[in-house]
Amino acid sequence: MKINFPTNYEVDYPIKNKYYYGETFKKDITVVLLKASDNYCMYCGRKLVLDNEYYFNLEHSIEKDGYPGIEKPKTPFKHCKYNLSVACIRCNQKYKNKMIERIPYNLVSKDLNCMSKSCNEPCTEYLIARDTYLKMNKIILQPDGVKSSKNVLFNIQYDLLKQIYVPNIENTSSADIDFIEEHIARFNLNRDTASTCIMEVCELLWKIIDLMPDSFNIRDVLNISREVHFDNIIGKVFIEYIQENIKDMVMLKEFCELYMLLSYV
Amino acid sequence: MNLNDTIEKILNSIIEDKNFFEHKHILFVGENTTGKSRTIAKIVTELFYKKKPIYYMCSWNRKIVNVRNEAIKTFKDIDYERVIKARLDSINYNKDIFHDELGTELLMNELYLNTDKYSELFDGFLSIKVSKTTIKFEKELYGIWNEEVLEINEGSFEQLSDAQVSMMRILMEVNFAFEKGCKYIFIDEFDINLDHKNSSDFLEWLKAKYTDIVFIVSAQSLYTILNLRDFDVVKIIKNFKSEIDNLCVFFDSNDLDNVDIIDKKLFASNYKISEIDERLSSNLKCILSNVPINKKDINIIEQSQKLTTRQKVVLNFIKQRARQS
Repeated sequence: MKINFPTNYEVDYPIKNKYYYGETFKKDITVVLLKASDNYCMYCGRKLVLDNEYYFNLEHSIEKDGYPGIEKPKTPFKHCKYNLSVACIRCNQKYKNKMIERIPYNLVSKDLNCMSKSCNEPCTEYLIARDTYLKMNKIILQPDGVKSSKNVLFNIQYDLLKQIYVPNIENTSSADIDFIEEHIARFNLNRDTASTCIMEVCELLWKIIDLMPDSFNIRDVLNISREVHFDNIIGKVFIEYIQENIKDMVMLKEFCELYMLLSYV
Repeated sequence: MNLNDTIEKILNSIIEDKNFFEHKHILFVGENTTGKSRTIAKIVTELFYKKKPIYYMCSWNRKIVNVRNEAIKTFKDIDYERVIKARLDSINYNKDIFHDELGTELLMNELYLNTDKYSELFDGFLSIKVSKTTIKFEKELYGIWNEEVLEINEGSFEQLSDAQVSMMRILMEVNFAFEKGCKYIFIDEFDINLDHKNSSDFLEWLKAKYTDIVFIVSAQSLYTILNLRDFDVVKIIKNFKSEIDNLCVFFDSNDLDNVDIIDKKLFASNYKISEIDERLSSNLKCILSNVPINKKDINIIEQSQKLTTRQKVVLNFIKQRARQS
Protein backbone atom coordinates (compact mmCIF):
# COMPACT_ATOMS: atom_id res chain seq x y z
CA MET A 1 0.00 0.00 0.00
CA LYS A 2 1.98 2.94 -1.33
CA ILE A 3 0.94 6.29 -2.75
CA ASN A 4 2.95 8.50 -5.07
CA PHE A 5 4.29 11.73 -3.61
CA PRO A 6 4.41 14.36 -6.39
CA THR A 7 7.98 14.80 -7.67
CA ASN A 8 7.27 16.99 -10.68
CA TYR A 9 4.74 19.64 -11.65
CA GLU A 10 3.32 20.76 -15.00
CA VAL A 11 3.82 24.52 -15.22
CA ASP A 12 2.08 26.73 -17.78
CA TYR A 13 5.06 29.03 -18.35
CA PRO A 14 4.74 32.47 -19.94
CA ILE A 15 6.62 32.46 -23.27
CA LYS A 16 8.48 35.75 -22.92
CA ASN A 17 11.63 35.93 -20.84
CA LYS A 18 11.63 38.59 -18.18
CA TYR A 19 13.57 39.44 -15.01
CA TYR A 20 11.40 37.00 -13.13
CA TYR A 21 13.32 37.27 -9.88
CA GLY A 22 13.07 41.09 -9.97
CA GLU A 23 10.31 42.78 -8.02
CA THR A 24 8.38 43.85 -11.18
CA PHE A 25 7.90 40.41 -12.74
CA LYS A 26 8.22 38.11 -9.72
CA LYS A 27 4.46 37.95 -9.44
CA ASP A 28 4.05 36.65 -13.03
CA ILE A 29 6.09 33.52 -12.42
CA THR A 30 4.88 33.03 -8.85
CA VAL A 31 1.25 32.81 -9.99
CA VAL A 32 1.93 30.02 -12.50
CA LEU A 33 4.17 28.07 -10.12
CA LEU A 34 1.66 28.25 -7.25
CA LYS A 35 -1.10 27.20 -9.61
CA ALA A 36 0.94 24.18 -10.73
CA SER A 37 1.66 23.07 -7.16
CA ASP A 38 -1.81 23.98 -5.88
CA ASN A 39 -0.20 26.21 -3.23
CA TYR A 40 1.98 23.46 -1.76
CA CYS A 41 5.76 23.39 -1.33
CA MET A 42 7.22 21.59 -4.35
CA TYR A 43 9.83 19.87 -2.16
CA CYS A 44 8.13 18.75 1.06
CA GLY A 45 4.48 19.18 0.05
CA ARG A 46 3.64 21.50 2.92
CA LYS A 47 0.80 24.02 2.59
CA LEU A 48 2.07 27.50 1.66
CA VAL A 49 -1.08 29.43 2.55
CA LEU A 50 -2.06 30.17 6.08
CA ASP A 51 -4.94 32.49 6.98
CA ASN A 52 -5.06 33.70 3.37
CA GLU A 53 -1.43 34.71 3.53
CA TYR A 54 1.33 33.11 1.52
CA TYR A 55 4.48 31.92 3.23
CA PHE A 56 6.97 30.76 0.62
CA ASN A 57 10.19 31.52 -1.25
CA LEU A 58 10.99 31.50 -4.95
CA GLU A 59 13.58 28.75 -5.04
CA HIS A 60 16.47 28.59 -7.52
CA SER A 61 17.34 25.08 -8.70
CA ILE A 62 20.85 26.25 -9.62
CA GLU A 63 21.92 28.76 -6.99
CA LYS A 64 21.60 32.37 -8.06
CA ASP A 65 24.79 33.47 -6.30
CA GLY A 66 27.49 32.22 -4.01
CA TYR A 67 30.83 32.10 -5.77
CA PRO A 68 32.97 33.60 -3.06
CA GLY A 69 36.10 35.42 -4.20
CA ILE A 70 34.79 36.13 -7.70
CA GLU A 71 34.02 39.73 -8.30
CA LYS A 72 30.66 40.55 -9.83
CA PRO A 73 29.73 36.96 -10.68
CA LYS A 74 27.39 36.70 -13.62
CA THR A 75 24.13 35.03 -12.78
CA PRO A 76 22.57 33.90 -16.04
CA PHE A 77 19.99 31.66 -14.36
CA LYS A 78 18.89 34.06 -11.64
CA HIS A 79 15.83 35.17 -13.59
CA CYS A 80 15.42 32.04 -15.77
CA LYS A 81 11.83 30.81 -15.41
CA TYR A 82 12.89 27.15 -15.72
CA ASN A 83 15.26 27.56 -12.80
CA LEU A 84 12.52 28.70 -10.39
CA SER A 85 10.14 26.78 -8.16
CA VAL A 86 8.00 27.53 -5.11
CA ALA A 87 9.15 26.11 -1.79
CA CYS A 88 8.45 26.62 1.87
CA ILE A 89 10.95 28.75 3.75
CA ARG A 90 12.45 25.74 5.53
CA CYS A 91 13.09 23.78 2.34
CA ASN A 92 14.54 26.78 0.49
CA GLN A 93 16.67 28.30 3.21
CA LYS A 94 17.68 25.22 5.17
CA TYR A 95 17.62 21.98 3.22
CA LYS A 96 18.20 23.28 -0.31
CA ASN A 97 20.78 25.80 0.85
CA LYS A 98 23.23 23.86 3.03
CA MET A 99 25.74 21.22 1.93
CA ILE A 100 25.37 22.06 -1.75
CA GLU A 101 28.23 21.44 -4.18
CA ARG A 102 28.68 24.41 -6.53
CA ILE A 103 28.95 23.68 -10.23
CA PRO A 104 32.09 24.94 -12.06
CA TYR A 105 32.11 28.71 -12.49
CA ASN A 106 32.48 28.51 -16.27
CA LEU A 107 28.96 27.00 -16.46
CA VAL A 108 27.34 29.98 -14.82
CA SER A 109 29.62 32.73 -16.05
CA LYS A 110 28.37 32.98 -19.62
CA ASP A 111 26.48 36.05 -20.69
CA LEU A 112 23.42 34.51 -22.32
CA ASN A 113 21.70 37.79 -23.19
CA CYS A 114 18.35 36.04 -23.30
CA MET A 115 16.10 38.58 -21.58
CA SER A 116 14.81 40.00 -24.84
CA LYS A 117 14.05 36.56 -26.26
CA SER A 118 11.23 34.07 -25.80
CA CYS A 119 11.79 30.47 -24.66
CA ASN A 120 9.51 27.47 -25.08
CA GLU A 121 11.92 25.14 -23.40
CA PRO A 122 15.10 25.31 -21.33
CA CYS A 123 18.19 26.22 -23.39
CA THR A 124 21.17 23.88 -23.87
CA GLU A 125 23.36 25.99 -21.56
CA TYR A 126 20.83 25.62 -18.76
CA LEU A 127 20.39 21.89 -19.32
CA ILE A 128 24.18 21.30 -19.22
CA ALA A 129 24.46 23.30 -16.00
CA ARG A 130 21.48 21.42 -14.51
CA ASP A 131 22.90 18.02 -15.44
CA THR A 132 26.23 18.94 -13.90
CA TYR A 133 24.43 20.12 -10.77
CA LEU A 134 22.55 16.81 -10.53
CA LYS A 135 25.77 14.84 -10.80
CA MET A 136 27.08 16.78 -7.82
CA ASN A 137 23.91 17.08 -5.74
CA LYS A 138 21.33 14.36 -5.30
CA ILE A 139 18.25 16.54 -5.33
CA ILE A 140 15.03 15.98 -7.28
CA LEU A 141 14.93 19.51 -8.66
CA GLN A 142 11.54 21.12 -9.09
CA PRO A 143 9.23 21.75 -10.84
CA ASP A 144 10.47 19.46 -13.61
CA GLY A 145 11.67 16.58 -11.46
CA VAL A 146 14.62 14.41 -12.44
CA LYS A 147 14.71 11.47 -14.82
CA SER A 148 16.84 8.35 -14.54
CA SER A 149 19.13 7.08 -17.29
CA LYS A 150 16.17 4.96 -18.44
CA ASN A 151 14.12 8.15 -18.82
CA VAL A 152 11.88 7.30 -15.88
CA LEU A 153 10.97 10.09 -13.46
CA PHE A 154 12.44 9.65 -9.98
CA ASN A 155 9.53 8.86 -7.81
CA ILE A 156 8.97 8.99 -4.04
CA GLN A 157 6.20 6.95 -2.45
CA TYR A 158 4.50 7.10 0.93
CA ASP A 159 4.31 3.64 2.43
CA LEU A 160 0.96 3.56 4.22
CA LEU A 161 1.86 0.50 6.31
CA LYS A 162 5.27 1.68 7.47
CA GLN A 163 4.15 5.33 7.46
CA ILE A 164 7.36 6.62 5.91
CA TYR A 165 8.51 8.02 2.56
CA VAL A 166 10.49 5.53 0.47
CA PRO A 167 11.94 5.54 -3.08
CA ASN A 168 9.83 3.87 -5.73
CA ILE A 169 12.06 0.93 -6.56
CA GLU A 170 10.18 -0.19 -9.66
CA ASN A 171 12.40 0.13 -12.76
CA THR A 172 14.97 1.90 -10.62
CA SER A 173 18.66 1.01 -10.40
CA SER A 174 20.43 0.89 -7.05
CA ALA A 175 22.30 4.12 -7.90
CA ASP A 176 18.96 5.82 -8.60
CA ILE A 177 17.52 4.50 -5.34
CA ASP A 178 20.53 6.03 -3.54
CA PHE A 179 19.79 9.34 -5.29
CA ILE A 180 16.14 9.31 -4.15
CA GLU A 181 17.06 8.19 -0.62
CA GLU A 182 19.50 11.07 -0.33
CA HIS A 183 16.79 13.49 -1.49
CA ILE A 184 14.39 12.08 1.16
CA ALA A 185 17.10 12.42 3.82
CA ARG A 186 18.12 15.95 2.71
CA PHE A 187 14.58 17.29 2.93
CA ASN A 188 14.01 15.32 6.13
CA LEU A 189 10.75 13.94 4.76
CA ASN A 190 10.65 11.30 7.49
CA ARG A 191 11.68 13.55 10.33
CA ASP A 192 11.43 17.37 10.59
CA THR A 193 9.12 17.70 7.63
CA ALA A 194 7.26 14.42 8.26
CA SER A 195 3.58 14.94 7.71
CA THR A 196 0.73 13.77 9.90
CA CYS A 197 -1.66 14.72 7.13
CA ILE A 198 -2.77 11.19 6.17
CA MET A 199 -3.80 10.54 9.73
CA GLU A 200 -5.82 13.77 9.70
CA VAL A 201 -7.50 12.74 6.43
CA CYS A 202 -8.43 9.37 7.99
CA GLU A 203 -9.87 11.13 11.04
CA LEU A 204 -11.82 13.51 8.80
CA LEU A 205 -13.25 10.71 6.64
CA TRP A 206 -14.12 8.65 9.72
CA LYS A 207 -15.94 11.63 11.26
CA ILE A 208 -17.84 12.37 8.04
CA ILE A 209 -18.97 8.73 7.77
CA ASP A 210 -19.92 8.73 11.45
CA LEU A 211 -21.95 11.94 11.24
CA MET A 212 -23.60 11.68 7.84
CA PRO A 213 -26.83 9.81 7.12
CA ASP A 214 -26.76 6.32 5.60
CA SER A 215 -27.91 7.72 2.26
CA PHE A 216 -24.43 9.18 1.76
CA ASN A 217 -22.16 7.24 -0.54
CA ILE A 218 -18.39 7.14 -0.79
CA ARG A 219 -18.33 9.72 -3.57
CA ASP A 220 -20.18 12.23 -1.36
CA VAL A 221 -17.74 11.63 1.49
CA LEU A 222 -14.72 12.16 -0.75
CA ASN A 223 -16.26 15.26 -2.35
CA ILE A 224 -16.74 16.86 1.07
CA SER A 225 -13.16 16.04 2.00
CA ARG A 226 -11.87 17.59 -1.23
CA GLU A 227 -13.13 20.97 -0.02
CA VAL A 228 -10.42 20.93 2.62
CA HIS A 229 -7.01 22.37 1.77
CA PHE A 230 -4.89 19.83 3.59
CA ASP A 231 -1.70 20.67 5.49
CA ASN A 232 0.31 18.64 2.99
CA ILE A 233 -0.17 17.69 -0.64
CA ILE A 234 0.04 14.03 0.39
CA GLY A 235 -3.50 14.43 1.82
CA LYS A 236 -4.80 15.43 -1.59
CA VAL A 237 -3.05 12.48 -3.26
CA PHE A 238 -4.36 10.15 -0.57
CA ILE A 239 -7.97 11.11 -1.34
CA GLU A 240 -7.38 10.14 -4.98
CA TYR A 241 -5.85 6.84 -3.85
CA ILE A 242 -8.98 6.10 -1.81
CA GLN A 243 -11.23 6.98 -4.74
CA GLU A 244 -9.40 4.47 -6.92
CA ASN A 245 -9.04 1.65 -4.42
CA ILE A 246 -11.93 1.70 -1.97
CA LYS A 247 -15.46 1.31 -3.26
CA ASP A 248 -17.46 0.75 -0.16
CA MET A 249 -18.33 2.94 2.89
CA VAL A 250 -17.93 0.14 5.44
CA MET A 251 -14.57 -0.75 4.00
CA LEU A 252 -13.50 2.92 4.03
CA LYS A 253 -14.42 3.30 7.70
CA GLU A 254 -12.53 0.12 8.56
CA PHE A 255 -9.55 1.27 6.50
CA CYS A 256 -9.46 4.58 8.39
CA GLU A 257 -9.70 2.75 11.72
CA LEU A 258 -6.92 0.40 10.71
CA TYR A 259 -4.73 3.33 9.73
CA MET A 260 -5.33 5.03 13.08
CA LEU A 261 -4.53 1.77 14.92
CA LEU A 262 -1.36 1.31 12.86
CA SER A 263 0.01 4.64 13.99
CA TYR A 264 -0.12 3.39 17.59
CA VAL A 265 1.74 0.15 16.96
CA MET B 1 2.35 1.88 31.13
CA ASN B 2 4.68 3.75 33.48
CA LEU B 3 8.19 2.66 34.38
CA ASN B 4 7.14 1.17 37.70
CA ASP B 5 4.52 -1.08 36.08
CA THR B 6 6.99 -2.01 33.36
CA ILE B 7 9.56 -3.12 35.96
CA GLU B 8 6.85 -5.20 37.68
CA LYS B 9 5.90 -6.79 34.38
CA ILE B 10 9.50 -7.62 33.48
CA LEU B 11 10.08 -9.11 36.95
CA ASN B 12 6.98 -11.27 36.62
CA SER B 13 7.97 -12.48 33.18
CA ILE B 14 11.41 -13.51 34.47
CA ILE B 15 10.15 -15.11 37.71
CA GLU B 16 7.48 -17.05 35.81
CA ASP B 17 9.90 -17.76 32.94
CA LYS B 18 7.52 -16.30 30.35
CA ASN B 19 7.95 -13.93 27.40
CA PHE B 20 7.81 -10.25 28.27
CA PHE B 21 5.65 -9.41 25.24
CA GLU B 22 6.64 -11.40 22.20
CA HIS B 23 10.12 -12.37 23.37
CA LYS B 24 12.31 -13.00 26.38
CA HIS B 25 15.20 -10.75 25.35
CA ILE B 26 14.64 -7.08 26.20
CA LEU B 27 16.33 -3.91 24.99
CA PHE B 28 15.87 -0.50 26.65
CA VAL B 29 16.19 2.76 24.74
CA GLY B 30 15.52 6.33 25.78
CA GLU B 31 17.17 9.69 26.22
CA ASN B 32 19.83 10.21 28.86
CA THR B 33 18.47 10.44 32.42
CA THR B 34 15.23 8.62 31.60
CA GLY B 35 16.29 5.93 34.06
CA LYS B 36 17.48 3.07 31.86
CA SER B 37 20.44 2.20 34.07
CA ARG B 38 18.49 2.54 37.30
CA THR B 39 15.70 0.38 35.84
CA ILE B 40 18.16 -2.38 35.03
CA ALA B 41 19.80 -2.05 38.47
CA LYS B 42 16.36 -2.21 40.14
CA ILE B 43 15.39 -5.38 38.30
CA VAL B 44 18.78 -6.92 39.03
CA THR B 45 18.48 -6.06 42.75
CA GLU B 46 15.03 -7.64 43.02
CA LEU B 47 16.08 -10.80 41.21
CA PHE B 48 19.37 -11.03 43.07
CA TYR B 49 17.65 -11.18 46.44
CA LYS B 50 15.20 -13.71 45.03
CA LYS B 51 18.29 -15.83 44.24
CA LYS B 52 17.66 -15.98 40.50
CA PRO B 53 20.61 -17.03 38.30
CA ILE B 54 21.42 -13.58 36.92
CA TYR B 55 24.54 -11.67 35.96
CA TYR B 56 25.01 -7.91 35.64
CA MET B 57 27.47 -5.61 33.89
CA CYS B 58 27.22 -1.88 34.40
CA SER B 59 28.31 0.67 31.81
CA TRP B 60 31.78 1.31 33.21
CA ASN B 61 32.84 -2.36 32.93
CA ARG B 62 34.32 -2.13 29.47
CA LYS B 63 38.06 -1.88 29.96
CA ILE B 64 40.86 -4.34 30.52
CA VAL B 65 43.94 -2.83 32.10
CA ASN B 66 47.20 -4.31 30.94
CA VAL B 67 48.82 -4.66 34.38
CA ARG B 68 49.12 -8.02 36.04
CA ASN B 69 49.82 -9.12 39.57
CA GLU B 70 50.63 -12.72 40.45
CA ALA B 71 48.83 -12.38 43.76
CA ILE B 72 45.57 -11.38 42.17
CA LYS B 73 42.92 -13.97 41.38
CA THR B 74 41.16 -15.25 38.28
CA PHE B 75 37.50 -16.03 37.55
CA LYS B 76 38.04 -19.50 39.04
CA ASP B 77 38.49 -18.02 42.48
CA ILE B 78 35.43 -15.82 42.65
CA ASP B 79 31.70 -16.49 42.61
CA TYR B 80 29.34 -14.50 40.46
CA GLU B 81 27.04 -13.51 43.33
CA ARG B 82 29.88 -11.52 44.89
CA VAL B 83 30.42 -9.71 41.59
CA ILE B 84 26.77 -8.66 41.38
CA LYS B 85 26.60 -7.71 45.05
CA ALA B 86 29.66 -5.51 44.68
CA ARG B 87 28.30 -3.91 41.49
CA LEU B 88 24.97 -3.13 43.13
CA ASP B 89 26.68 -1.55 46.13
CA SER B 90 26.52 2.23 45.77
CA ILE B 91 30.01 2.50 47.23
CA ASN B 92 31.34 0.99 43.99
CA TYR B 93 29.44 3.38 41.73
CA ASN B 94 31.61 4.19 38.72
CA LYS B 95 34.35 1.83 39.91
CA ASP B 96 35.50 -1.32 38.21
CA ILE B 97 35.47 -3.99 40.89
CA PHE B 98 37.93 -6.14 38.95
CA HIS B 99 40.45 -3.37 39.16
CA ASP B 100 42.44 -3.15 42.40
CA GLU B 101 44.16 -0.29 44.20
CA LEU B 102 47.51 -1.24 42.71
CA GLY B 103 46.16 -0.70 39.20
CA THR B 104 46.21 -4.40 38.38
CA GLU B 105 43.36 -6.39 37.06
CA LEU B 106 41.74 -9.77 37.53
CA LEU B 107 40.79 -9.95 33.86
CA MET B 108 44.38 -9.60 32.69
CA ASN B 109 45.36 -12.45 35.01
CA GLU B 110 42.46 -14.49 33.70
CA LEU B 111 43.55 -13.88 30.09
CA TYR B 112 47.19 -14.54 30.83
CA LEU B 113 46.61 -17.85 32.54
CA ASN B 114 44.05 -19.15 30.02
CA THR B 115 45.35 -18.03 26.64
CA ASP B 116 44.20 -21.13 24.74
CA LYS B 117 40.66 -20.92 26.06
CA TYR B 118 40.29 -17.24 25.21
CA SER B 119 41.95 -17.57 21.81
CA GLU B 120 39.27 -20.06 20.90
CA LEU B 121 36.50 -17.93 22.40
CA PHE B 122 37.60 -14.66 20.75
CA ASP B 123 38.19 -16.34 17.42
CA GLY B 124 34.44 -16.80 16.91
CA PHE B 125 33.55 -13.14 16.45
CA LEU B 126 36.56 -10.97 17.17
CA SER B 127 39.27 -12.87 15.24
CA ILE B 128 41.66 -12.25 18.09
CA LYS B 129 44.39 -14.71 19.03
CA VAL B 130 45.85 -14.47 22.52
CA SER B 131 49.31 -15.82 23.27
CA LYS B 132 52.31 -15.28 25.52
CA THR B 133 55.73 -14.03 24.54
CA THR B 134 58.95 -13.14 26.31
CA ILE B 135 60.26 -9.63 25.98
CA LYS B 136 63.68 -8.41 26.99
CA PHE B 137 63.57 -5.21 29.08
CA GLU B 138 66.50 -2.94 29.72
CA LYS B 139 66.64 0.01 32.10
CA GLU B 140 69.62 1.87 33.44
CA LEU B 141 68.83 1.44 37.12
CA TYR B 142 67.48 -2.10 37.00
CA GLY B 143 69.63 -3.68 34.36
CA ILE B 144 68.40 -6.24 31.85
CA TRP B 145 65.65 -8.74 32.50
CA ASN B 146 63.17 -10.91 30.58
CA GLU B 147 59.43 -10.78 31.14
CA GLU B 148 56.59 -12.84 29.78
CA VAL B 149 53.80 -10.63 28.40
CA LEU B 150 50.48 -11.15 26.70
CA GLU B 151 50.45 -10.90 22.94
CA ILE B 152 47.37 -10.19 20.84
CA ASN B 153 47.45 -11.26 17.20
CA GLU B 154 51.25 -11.15 17.46
CA GLY B 155 51.09 -7.49 18.48
CA SER B 156 50.89 -5.74 21.80
CA PHE B 157 47.74 -5.54 23.90
CA GLU B 158 47.79 -1.72 23.64
CA GLN B 159 47.16 -1.91 19.90
CA LEU B 160 43.61 -3.11 20.48
CA SER B 161 40.88 -0.57 19.83
CA ASP B 162 38.36 0.44 22.51
CA ALA B 163 35.70 -1.48 20.59
CA GLN B 164 37.74 -4.68 20.59
CA VAL B 165 38.50 -4.38 24.29
CA SER B 166 34.82 -3.68 25.05
CA MET B 167 33.75 -6.79 23.16
CA MET B 168 36.49 -8.91 24.76
CA ARG B 169 35.38 -7.77 28.20
CA ILE B 170 31.70 -8.46 27.50
CA LEU B 171 32.52 -11.84 26.03
CA MET B 172 34.76 -12.82 28.96
CA GLU B 173 32.13 -11.90 31.50
CA VAL B 174 29.24 -13.46 29.57
CA ASN B 175 31.25 -16.65 29.28
CA PHE B 176 32.04 -16.51 33.00
CA ALA B 177 28.36 -16.07 33.82
CA PHE B 178 27.44 -18.91 31.46
CA GLU B 179 29.97 -21.25 33.09
CA LYS B 180 28.54 -20.37 36.49
CA GLY B 181 25.07 -21.30 35.29
CA CYS B 182 23.48 -17.85 34.94
CA LYS B 183 20.33 -17.69 32.79
CA TYR B 184 19.71 -13.92 32.60
CA ILE B 185 22.45 -11.46 31.73
CA PHE B 186 21.89 -7.73 32.16
CA ILE B 187 24.26 -5.40 30.31
CA ASP B 188 23.85 -1.66 30.70
CA GLU B 189 24.85 0.50 27.71
CA PHE B 190 25.73 -2.53 25.61
CA ASP B 191 26.86 -0.54 22.57
CA ILE B 192 29.44 1.75 24.22
CA ASN B 193 32.44 2.04 21.86
CA LEU B 194 30.81 -0.21 19.25
CA ASP B 195 30.27 0.93 15.67
CA HIS B 196 27.06 0.77 13.64
CA LYS B 197 27.77 -2.79 12.49
CA ASN B 198 29.28 -4.42 15.54
CA SER B 199 26.63 -3.16 17.93
CA SER B 200 23.89 -5.45 16.66
CA ASP B 201 26.02 -8.17 15.06
CA PHE B 202 27.87 -8.80 18.32
CA LEU B 203 24.67 -9.03 20.34
CA GLU B 204 23.15 -11.40 17.78
CA TRP B 205 26.32 -13.50 17.84
CA LEU B 206 26.22 -13.72 21.65
CA LYS B 207 22.57 -14.73 21.46
CA ALA B 208 23.38 -17.48 18.94
CA LYS B 209 26.37 -18.75 20.93
CA TYR B 210 24.65 -18.78 24.33
CA THR B 211 21.23 -19.96 23.27
CA ASP B 212 19.95 -20.61 26.80
CA ILE B 213 20.79 -17.14 28.06
CA VAL B 214 18.30 -14.28 28.04
CA PHE B 215 19.88 -10.88 27.37
CA ILE B 216 18.43 -7.74 28.92
CA VAL B 217 20.39 -4.74 27.70
CA SER B 218 20.18 -1.00 27.21
CA ALA B 219 21.54 0.75 24.11
CA GLN B 220 21.95 4.19 22.55
CA SER B 221 22.47 3.52 18.87
CA LEU B 222 19.81 3.19 16.23
CA TYR B 223 22.01 0.59 14.53
CA THR B 224 21.96 -1.70 17.56
CA ILE B 225 18.25 -2.14 16.94
CA LEU B 226 18.37 -2.30 13.15
CA ASN B 227 19.58 -5.89 12.78
CA LEU B 228 18.35 -7.25 16.08
CA ARG B 229 15.95 -10.18 16.08
CA ASP B 230 13.59 -11.42 18.80
CA PHE B 231 13.91 -8.58 21.28
CA ASP B 232 11.11 -6.67 22.95
CA VAL B 233 12.18 -3.03 22.74
CA VAL B 234 11.15 -0.74 25.61
CA LYS B 235 11.31 2.97 24.89
CA ILE B 236 11.32 5.06 28.07
CA ILE B 237 9.91 8.56 27.64
CA LYS B 238 10.83 11.38 29.97
CA ASN B 239 7.79 13.12 31.42
CA PHE B 240 9.67 15.49 33.71
CA LYS B 241 7.58 14.57 36.79
CA SER B 242 9.33 11.68 38.46
CA GLU B 243 11.31 8.79 37.11
CA ILE B 244 8.82 6.09 38.08
CA ASP B 245 6.10 8.02 36.21
CA ASN B 246 8.10 8.01 32.98
CA LEU B 247 6.03 6.26 30.36
CA CYS B 248 7.13 3.20 28.42
CA VAL B 249 6.18 2.20 24.89
CA PHE B 250 6.90 -1.26 23.54
CA PHE B 251 8.02 -2.45 20.13
CA ASP B 252 9.00 -5.75 18.58
CA SER B 253 12.58 -5.55 17.22
CA ASN B 254 11.50 -7.75 14.30
CA ASP B 255 9.23 -4.90 13.11
CA LEU B 256 12.01 -2.34 13.36
CA ASP B 257 13.89 -3.22 10.19
CA ASN B 258 14.22 0.21 8.63
CA VAL B 259 16.41 3.14 9.72
CA ASP B 260 13.69 5.70 9.06
CA ILE B 261 11.09 3.79 11.09
CA ILE B 262 13.46 3.30 14.04
CA ASP B 263 14.48 6.94 13.90
CA LYS B 264 10.88 8.15 13.76
CA LYS B 265 9.47 5.83 16.41
CA LEU B 266 12.36 5.60 18.85
CA PHE B 267 14.68 8.54 18.50
CA ALA B 268 13.17 11.61 16.78
CA SER B 269 12.78 14.20 19.50
CA ASN B 270 10.05 16.06 17.65
CA TYR B 271 7.99 12.89 17.42
CA LYS B 272 6.34 13.48 20.74
CA ILE B 273 2.92 12.06 21.35
CA SER B 274 0.76 12.81 24.34
CA GLU B 275 0.58 10.83 27.56
CA ILE B 276 -2.81 9.46 26.48
CA ASP B 277 -1.24 8.29 23.21
CA GLU B 278 1.60 6.54 25.06
CA ARG B 279 -0.88 4.70 27.26
CA LEU B 280 -3.01 3.74 24.26
CA SER B 281 0.05 2.56 22.39
CA SER B 282 1.35 0.30 25.16
CA ASN B 283 -2.11 -1.20 25.76
CA LEU B 284 -2.65 -1.80 22.07
CA LYS B 285 0.65 -3.67 22.17
CA CYS B 286 -0.77 -5.77 25.05
CA ILE B 287 -3.84 -6.64 22.96
CA LEU B 288 -1.78 -7.56 19.91
CA SER B 289 0.60 -9.69 22.00
CA ASN B 290 -2.28 -11.34 23.81
CA VAL B 291 -1.24 -10.21 27.28
CA PRO B 292 -3.56 -8.53 29.82
CA ILE B 293 -4.05 -4.78 29.42
CA ASN B 294 -3.30 -2.27 32.17
CA LYS B 295 -6.75 -1.36 33.52
CA LYS B 296 -5.37 1.62 35.44
CA ASP B 297 -4.27 3.13 32.11
CA ILE B 298 -7.69 2.58 30.55
CA ASN B 299 -9.38 4.31 33.50
CA ILE B 300 -7.05 7.30 33.17
CA ILE B 301 -7.77 7.53 29.43
CA GLU B 302 -11.54 7.24 29.95
CA GLN B 303 -11.49 10.03 32.51
CA SER B 304 -9.87 12.35 30.02
CA GLN B 305 -12.47 14.77 28.65
CA LYS B 306 -10.81 15.63 25.38
CA LEU B 307 -10.09 12.52 23.36
CA THR B 308 -9.33 12.97 19.68
CA THR B 309 -11.08 10.86 17.05
CA ARG B 310 -8.10 8.57 16.67
CA GLN B 311 -7.81 8.15 20.45
CA LYS B 312 -11.51 7.22 20.65
CA VAL B 313 -11.13 4.69 17.83
CA VAL B 314 -8.08 3.06 19.43
CA LEU B 315 -9.67 3.06 22.91
CA ASN B 316 -12.82 1.37 21.55
CA PHE B 317 -10.71 -1.23 19.79
CA ILE B 318 -8.74 -2.01 22.97
CA LYS B 319 -11.90 -2.26 25.10
CA GLN B 320 -13.68 -4.43 22.56
CA ARG B 321 -10.74 -6.83 22.23
CA ALA B 322 -10.15 -6.93 25.99
CA ARG B 323 -13.79 -7.97 26.49
CA GLN B 324 -13.43 -10.73 23.91
CA SER B 325 -10.29 -12.22 25.45
